[in-house]
Amino acid sequence: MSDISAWAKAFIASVKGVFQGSEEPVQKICVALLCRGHVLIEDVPGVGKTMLARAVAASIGGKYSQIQCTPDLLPADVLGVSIYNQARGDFEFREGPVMTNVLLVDEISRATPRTQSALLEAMAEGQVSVEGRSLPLPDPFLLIATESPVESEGTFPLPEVQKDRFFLSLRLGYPDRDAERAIMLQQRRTESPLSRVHAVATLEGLVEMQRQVLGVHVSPLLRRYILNLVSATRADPRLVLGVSPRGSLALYKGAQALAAMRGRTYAVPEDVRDIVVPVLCKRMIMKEGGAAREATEDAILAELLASIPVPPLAEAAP
Amino acid sequence: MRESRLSMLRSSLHPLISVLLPFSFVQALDALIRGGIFQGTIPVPPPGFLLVVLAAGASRTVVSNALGARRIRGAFARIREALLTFASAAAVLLLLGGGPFHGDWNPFGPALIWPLILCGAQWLLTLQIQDALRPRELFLSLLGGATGHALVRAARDANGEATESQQNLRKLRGTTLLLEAFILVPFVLLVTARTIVSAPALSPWGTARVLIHVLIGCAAIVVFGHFSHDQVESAAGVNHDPGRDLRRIGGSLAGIGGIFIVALLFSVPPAVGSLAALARFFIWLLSLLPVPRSVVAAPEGNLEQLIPSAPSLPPTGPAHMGESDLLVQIFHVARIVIAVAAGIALIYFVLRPLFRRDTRISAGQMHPLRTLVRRLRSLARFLLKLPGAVSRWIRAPGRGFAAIPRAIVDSLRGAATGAKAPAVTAANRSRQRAAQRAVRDFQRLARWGRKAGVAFTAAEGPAEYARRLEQAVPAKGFALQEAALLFEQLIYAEAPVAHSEQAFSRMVDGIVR
Repeated sequence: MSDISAWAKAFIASVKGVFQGSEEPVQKICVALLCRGHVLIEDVPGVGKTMLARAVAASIGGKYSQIQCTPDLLPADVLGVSIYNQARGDFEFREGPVMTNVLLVDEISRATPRTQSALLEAMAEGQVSVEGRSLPLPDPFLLIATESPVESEGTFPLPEVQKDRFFLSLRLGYPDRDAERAIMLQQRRTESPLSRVHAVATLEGLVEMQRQVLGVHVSPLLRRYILNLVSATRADPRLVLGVSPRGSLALYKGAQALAAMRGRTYAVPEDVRDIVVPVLCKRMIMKEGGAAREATEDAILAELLASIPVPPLAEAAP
Repeated sequence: MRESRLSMLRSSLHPLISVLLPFSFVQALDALIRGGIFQGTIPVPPPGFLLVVLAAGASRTVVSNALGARRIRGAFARIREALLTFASAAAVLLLLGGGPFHGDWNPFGPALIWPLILCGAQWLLTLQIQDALRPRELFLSLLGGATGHALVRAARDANGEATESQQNLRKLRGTTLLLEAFILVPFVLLVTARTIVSAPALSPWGTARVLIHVLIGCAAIVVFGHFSHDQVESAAGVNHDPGRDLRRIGGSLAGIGGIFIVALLFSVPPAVGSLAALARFFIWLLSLLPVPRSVVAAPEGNLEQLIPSAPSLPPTGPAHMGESDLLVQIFHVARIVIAVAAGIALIYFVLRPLFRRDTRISAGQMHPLRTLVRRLRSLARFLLKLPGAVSRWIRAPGRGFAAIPRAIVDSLRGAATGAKAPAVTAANRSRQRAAQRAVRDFQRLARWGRKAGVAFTAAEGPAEYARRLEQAVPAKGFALQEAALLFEQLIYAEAPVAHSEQAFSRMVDGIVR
């Protein structure tokens, strides 16, 4: 696990060389990458979502593509299309931007549901079906989608089923004053900051690390803790819908990845607690009105974390 | 300090020292006492007995690792282990002596007592050296992953583990020196006395063995010196220079080697002794072969008349195989078959597990001897339950005879499952007990924290609580972080590091003191 830990440190340092925000989102993207998951970044425009995704792609060293979503974007524009080749007299398949290692889907809510759902198979199965054929996506494959919480006019909010496919969702937030000053200073250089980012591992190495993460031990006590947390969301009266089994699986895998990144071969409660909010917050549906009016998903999860005892330490508390 | 180096020390170097050092002492002791002091008084032990002595030490190391992995402590486990070791050593020595092949089944023959005493000495010395090296392992395990200044704080805050380990290393070095003196002084006296008053001297093989012992003992002193130096450097946070150590050890070993070569040049070459021992072993092997009966002509006249005091002897003459002779032969062959089967069983059940590559027996894996006992117990349980099952089958209406074999197979499967389940449960129970003890220690820490103004809340992890406590009591910061790490290992890891339970308990003692 020391290899994963060293790689994670190098990866975070590499991305942080370009992205001047907090370290936490970068760490969480690293977790998603190790768990073969996908990331939804939800924040206001101009906080560095695209820059973060491009820095991640450059640090992985794989192929990078970007899709700028608009209402007239068609599934064929994403997946690929067959074009008639006059010289050869037959149809020739042109791969879409989805055939890449890191795919940035910018402003995903501006695409129509039809186009959004074209990405479902790519996210869940690691393959796309085009014209009756199944084409495997390159390995590793990371999809980073961005969404703006403002400007809801003319957008198609992601349905819950599609939100559930994302391993975790992040909010970047505004950078602090020092970080913003550093961003301004970066602009004095003529070359792009991304030109200074180099790959910190090979793609094969990354796939091997993804495999190693699955071997991290999660004790029965921690499994019980994860189930307690998930069950509590299902029983909470402020929520219409609690976390799905896919959510508990994501929490389990996220704890494994975080433990490996911290150089351990076993997960501890802190690994679970650190990953709970980004993994679970978009997997719950709030009730409208009543007591739920003031609460947010994050606040509910924070309450649950503060109320559910960590096994086996309940007796140690006064 | 690298984790791989720590594990190499724990799994290879320390066990090797704890076995080889006593062995060198024991075999030199044997050469001195049997060959030099009581020459001819003590019966000659069976050939290859030194291997049994070595196996007794090796089994102590393996069992110690196994007990550590299962977290079994206490005198009972050690007594049981000692009894098993001595019983198996006695059995193997009996077989090596060839007694069973001649109908002598006495396990306490005069030729076996001396090797058994040596086995006991080897076992006890291995135990002592292991106990002395344990604090060092504990100290080293606390340094895993730490570098630079953190190590200095580790040495200061780790509840005196470093100091204790250092003291034990010094003690061990002293013990080695004492053993050296204990062997060398009588050896020198004997050699001197031989030249002056022609006192009994050591045999060539004995001389070679004493010299080998001196070599191993001196190497051990050098290694312990290296350990102490290494530990001081680790505690000071200085990066280790393996090249310098190599030069220092290389120089010392070259010096000792030089002494050894000089000793060889001016004494009988040990090869002569080794060849003699080999020849003795082959003679012993030949003695196992069936000896043809010599056809001796009966003397003329009555034997009792020729020798009046002679007891009545069995009739001699051309061999004829009567009914009683046939029975004797059958019994003789049966005894040999039983002895060979016992030897194979001992090798399979006792010696083979000693040479397993992975000495840390996992929770699900058991010693073959225990597996055999459990299987026998399950068979007995099945046999006891069988009459009840049959009577229930008789009372149950509408069941055909074809159901009988199926019922027996079902019962057998049930018994087999029943036999396996307690094994797993026993390992789990042991783990649970250790976890409960760790939780109790954590509760002590939480009580201390509450008094320090930082109460533990059930909804936080151990590391989070340790961080909050560190803010309140910065002086104990490193110890608190280490304690949290050990606790997490104990509770959440698949296979916690050996002795981490004791280390955690001691760290909590050190923090709350």
